[in-house]
Amino acid sequence: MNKLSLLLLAACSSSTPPSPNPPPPWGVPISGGNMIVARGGGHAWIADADRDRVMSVDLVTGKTAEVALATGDEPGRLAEDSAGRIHVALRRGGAVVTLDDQLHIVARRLVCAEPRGIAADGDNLYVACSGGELVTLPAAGGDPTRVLRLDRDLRDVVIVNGQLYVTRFRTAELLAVDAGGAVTSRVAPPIVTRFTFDSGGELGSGNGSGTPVPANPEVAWRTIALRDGSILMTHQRALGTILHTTPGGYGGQCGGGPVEDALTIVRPGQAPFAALSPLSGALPVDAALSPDGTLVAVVLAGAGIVEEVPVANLGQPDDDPCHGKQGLAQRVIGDDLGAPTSAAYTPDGALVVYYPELPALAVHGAATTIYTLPGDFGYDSGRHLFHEQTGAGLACASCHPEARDDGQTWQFDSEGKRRTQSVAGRILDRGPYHWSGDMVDLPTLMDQVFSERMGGPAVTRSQHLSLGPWLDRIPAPQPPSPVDQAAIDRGRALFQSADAGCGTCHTGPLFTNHALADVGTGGTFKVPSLLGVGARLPLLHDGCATTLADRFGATCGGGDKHGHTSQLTTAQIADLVAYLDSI
Amino acid sequence: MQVKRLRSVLREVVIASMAAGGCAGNPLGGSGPDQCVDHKSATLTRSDPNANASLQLKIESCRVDVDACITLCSQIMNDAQLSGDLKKCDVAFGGGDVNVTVAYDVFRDGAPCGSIGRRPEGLVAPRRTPAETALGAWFANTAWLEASSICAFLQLAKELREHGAPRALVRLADASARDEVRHAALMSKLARRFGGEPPAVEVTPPRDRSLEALAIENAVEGCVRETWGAVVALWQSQRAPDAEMRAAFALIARDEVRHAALGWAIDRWAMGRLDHGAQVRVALAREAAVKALADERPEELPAIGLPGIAEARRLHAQTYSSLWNGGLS
Repeated sequence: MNKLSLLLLAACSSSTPPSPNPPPPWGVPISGGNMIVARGGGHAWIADADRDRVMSVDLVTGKTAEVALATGDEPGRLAEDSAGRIHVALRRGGAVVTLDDQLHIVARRLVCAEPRGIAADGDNLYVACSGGELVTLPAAGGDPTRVLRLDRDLRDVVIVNGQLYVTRFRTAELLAVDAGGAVTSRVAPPIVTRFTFDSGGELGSGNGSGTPVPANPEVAWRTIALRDGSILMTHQRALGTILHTTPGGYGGQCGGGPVEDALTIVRPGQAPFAALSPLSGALPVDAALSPDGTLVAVVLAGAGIVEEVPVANLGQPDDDPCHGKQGLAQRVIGDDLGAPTSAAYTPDGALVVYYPELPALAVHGAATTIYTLPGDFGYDSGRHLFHEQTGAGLACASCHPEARDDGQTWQFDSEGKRRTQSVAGRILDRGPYHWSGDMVDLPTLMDQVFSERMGGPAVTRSQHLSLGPWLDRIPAPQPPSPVDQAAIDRGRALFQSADAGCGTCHTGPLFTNHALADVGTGGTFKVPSLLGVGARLPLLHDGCATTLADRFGATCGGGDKHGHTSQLTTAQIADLVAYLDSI
Repeated sequence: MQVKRLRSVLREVVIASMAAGGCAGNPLGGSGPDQCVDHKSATLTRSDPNANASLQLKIESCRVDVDACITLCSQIMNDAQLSGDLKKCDVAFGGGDVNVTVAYDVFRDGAPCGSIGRRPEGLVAPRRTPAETALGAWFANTAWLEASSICAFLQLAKELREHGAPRALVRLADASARDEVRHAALMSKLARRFGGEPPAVEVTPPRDRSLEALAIENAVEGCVRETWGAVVALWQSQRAPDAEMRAAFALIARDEVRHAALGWAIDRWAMGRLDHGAQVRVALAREAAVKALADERPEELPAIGLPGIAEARRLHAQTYSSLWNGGLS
């Protein structure tokens, strides 16, 4: 039912109370970076991931036009080529769709299972895929001209003076790729030091040392080029601190939590520079550069704000033990229109911000104009909770970006090491939750983790009812296109063989029998689902397996208590790995 | 001043005040939260729900999910220039209008609390979320104060380092920051138990300050407010009606005594390095803070063991004669 119908219904009714039950699930996890302003400056182009459509908005009149995509396409990043065509990466559609300036689809080209970043340069389009493919396409149309296979989890594509860079999402690495397709350099944001506290919240605990801890770079939400040829990455850092399962146990770090926002600048030929961050919110999902190159706008979806920062203020090194930062931003925009996902500047310097729920577009120029866009109202209290930052400055999506995982292994006071688990892929069929299965259901988990440990507000009935169904719609990561199908087939046979015994526990459509088992890995844990296992390294509860092959090594994986694989040859292990990477 | 000695003095202050006032009686009887809050209600109608996109978002959210209506009620209350702790909100949609009936509590003397704990320079006034109860509001505000003290102690440690203070003082300031993390967590937990939500702490960036400025702040925040905080927490550790609260306040009192002792130790160290004029200005600032504290009307929330007006006066007088008036310095 659209908004007009709702309003008419309301007008015709004598008195209607609010609905006591939440509506059906709506929307996808926030990824960010779903909007550009076309070079002409007159129109914003929005990839509406939640409604599977592309929309153009006249920034003067507010007049809109849109084109529908296939259900579940989930349009993401956009790029404009030199001819004015708009190319959109379809994150779940596995394709790039190309539109002319009249919003006609002129091409839809399959590129990979999960396209992520996209950039246009001259006659070429470059598309980075989560499966590790970096695909080159002719901008004018036609089949891919080159497919490189780099590391998995690729994110943004940035081209600076003809040099091609791609980022990796969870590791926040920046890879330089030469004309021949070789990776010539690989850098990550520097590790910085934070002063942290023992954050035990209960009486009698909290005798921690309070020593400095490393803040490790992770989750590169957005990477853009700056005017001077350097590259800016908005990402997160994970603190190497001990987490407590007590109320407020994820707090600490001068009032913040174990995850912080971060800005890193990479100048060609220099080591990456950790800039003293002016940001103050979770989920820095998008960034935009003003046309004169002097301002950067960063979208903080968790805080529901956009911070505009002078580039000149990003020159201070991030050596503050308390992540101190206030005062560096020039402007903080809080339109109070829900969680923003995207920002872009017009050629005359107005800042445009997109809010998907209403949906609405805010244009901050000399005056602020809010355009309410056509489209069904989008509401999901579970989705809202998932992206809402708590008093500890982190959201569920901080550790589960895009409802997957952050690649981190955290140290808990009472439980030891625990690898973040992905929540994508039929979550409702995977209970009880956490490695030891101690969370019987999602509402329990929400109360204990969100409200208690993260210091969030009490979870409402609606949120209890909504988060599970919302998450359940998010599929497990798709595997990359197969390189050696024969190896995969051999690996499948091995996996299912009675001798190897993998399929005894890792059985059924989710590759788990949901049982608790001690397979020699250091405790009794729930048999994890293997859906998308190749997309979530490192593996096992303590993250000891940094590759799929490591799981079959001598020091990690449980040996023959965990299946029976010691008799397999190196080639057979490689086949098994190829199979696991394909599920 | 040694922690042990200060603790002994402050215990005597509390015990003397209790003895003077008598310990008999039900701590929940007599005055209650109703004595410091007014219960109010209002019916508000918005006939232009689509005039404002932000309001429209909240209306649409409330329409499909009753749990989302609290934000709509809050905005409509704000737009109507009503403020208070929202306790109940009923929404009905009809004829293009939004009709909201709210019940809310207002503190007679404005925001609760505010006289205990060390606050950092540049502390920004909090953006409070309406609490469901007066107790929730009190604990939420106290949690905010405790959280702000984390930054205050970190800032203090940094400045002590820069001014060449003895390493022991710097270490104690660092340790105090860790204490405040626990306090904030404890108070946050109690706030949520009573339907409150602690606001976020915002602090503007610290500036380089002279030793005199640091000493003046320490005199106010450490020698007066932290000391008073320790006195009140000691009182609450005896008088709070609930075992969880008494245990929490006992822990906090133990730490606050240590923090107060740190304040006095810094005072002694800094005074030894200031010229006579600066010493006088520091002393005057401390006296002014003591007087301001005496002029504050205390909150009356016996449900959390807070001293009443008469009790607070006695406590203040005892602390003054035992400590602030130079009795032990």
